[in-house]
Amino acid sequence: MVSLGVPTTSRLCNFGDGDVERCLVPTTWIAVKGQHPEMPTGGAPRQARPFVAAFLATLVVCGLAPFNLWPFSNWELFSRLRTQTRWEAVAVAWTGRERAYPIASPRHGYRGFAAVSGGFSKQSAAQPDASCAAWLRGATEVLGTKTRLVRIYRMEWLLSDRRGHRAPPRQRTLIWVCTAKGAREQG
Amino acid sequence: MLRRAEGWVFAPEDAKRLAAVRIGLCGLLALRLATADYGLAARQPALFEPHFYMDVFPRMPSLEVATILQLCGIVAAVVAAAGLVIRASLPLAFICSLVLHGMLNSIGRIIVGDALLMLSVLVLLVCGSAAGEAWSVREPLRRALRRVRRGSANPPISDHDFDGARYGWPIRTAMIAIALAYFFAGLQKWRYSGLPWVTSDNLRWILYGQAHPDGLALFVADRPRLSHLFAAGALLLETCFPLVLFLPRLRWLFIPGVVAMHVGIRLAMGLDYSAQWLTVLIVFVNWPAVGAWL
Repeated sequence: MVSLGVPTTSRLCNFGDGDVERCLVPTTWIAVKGQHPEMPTGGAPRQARPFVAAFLATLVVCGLAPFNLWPFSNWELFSRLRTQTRWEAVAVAWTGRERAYPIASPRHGYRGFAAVSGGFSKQSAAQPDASCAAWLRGATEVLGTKTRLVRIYRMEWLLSDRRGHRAPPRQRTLIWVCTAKGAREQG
Repeated sequence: MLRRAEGWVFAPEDAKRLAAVRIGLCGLLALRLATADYGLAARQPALFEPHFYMDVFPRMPSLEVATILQLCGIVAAVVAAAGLVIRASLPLAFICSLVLHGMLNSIGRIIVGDALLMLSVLVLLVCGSAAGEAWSVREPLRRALRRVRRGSANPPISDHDFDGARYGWPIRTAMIAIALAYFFAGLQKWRYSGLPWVTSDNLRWILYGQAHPDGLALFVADRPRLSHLFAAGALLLETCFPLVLFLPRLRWLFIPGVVAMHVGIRLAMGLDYSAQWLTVLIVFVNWPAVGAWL
């Protein structure tokens, strides 16, 4: 019988042949090498403390700065006051007929539509052209090959104009037109 | 105060509790990988605006690459949930998920819903083999192999009686990360909007402004006082969430509150934050204790 004689909070650790008795010292294990090789040893690993410090510091810096280094987000979720405007897309066929194009719907659409279309005027020519080409392609897939162009409108309305479940009348302003040749700003 | 905080983070914990977190988070990761549509990003290579680490890719990964990553990630997450080869399976699942989510975040808008899950999995990844030492299929497999080999010199370890500091710090670090996430979500509202986030018609505009607001959204938006109440509740819940770290009894109030908030957002606005509130439940609830109580 091997006695380690290691003082613990309450008892000595004694290890018999083929028999393992766990001995818990406040934050560490005692393991006898060769008795059971799979028995866990030690407390928290050496890298734990530096990792926890760096991990939490990164979370705090990204939250305060704020930086958005996904998954270390800045957590700016619905943090800004909403104005009563939205962006909408309308697909126009060769006949001139307009159809609503649900560009932001999950299955076919593009989740960043409002953010991207709102920022078109600040970008170089290539980016709006690329976005427009993709949206036109998407509209053709969803609404058919007769789609000639996609019009992007900014919608504005007053909340107070609402009547029960009926949406208030909205003022529609054409901002961009997407054709096969690229994006064209209106107005 | 730092010493006390360190003492709390690195206090001993039952290995089964960490194992429950492993099974929950890896299972949730597998589910998210299986149900998300990464083709949404892969089919739109022209819209590639690489976010953060996605800069390493010269272009949007193809649909074939996305599919391979998705399959590998699901298998790795399931293997990690089972506690097998954890030092390889968990990093593989994490990396696959990182690239796939990076694709979705690189088409114009960054989606935060899975961020907390990924942060918690990252903590689990760093704790190494400790996460796989209890409630793992490893021991039954070894026992079966021993029986086949007609016994070995080493008796099996019971996976019922482990506890130590190596099992506690991942759980408490994830708890702190979750608390900080909600706190910062609240702080940003105070920072950019202030009290008008509650007192103005902001929440009504958010609800009315949807393309097709449903009955619940209109019910709340049509009632200004109810809207202000929900806005105040959400802001209070987020800002005060870190209290659950210091006053555990408050978890009985805040955890259900957070779940209710996210379920309400899903019903009223169609936004899916299920990965987030399920991560909160997995990390904060002591599942071995729940199992023992049942």
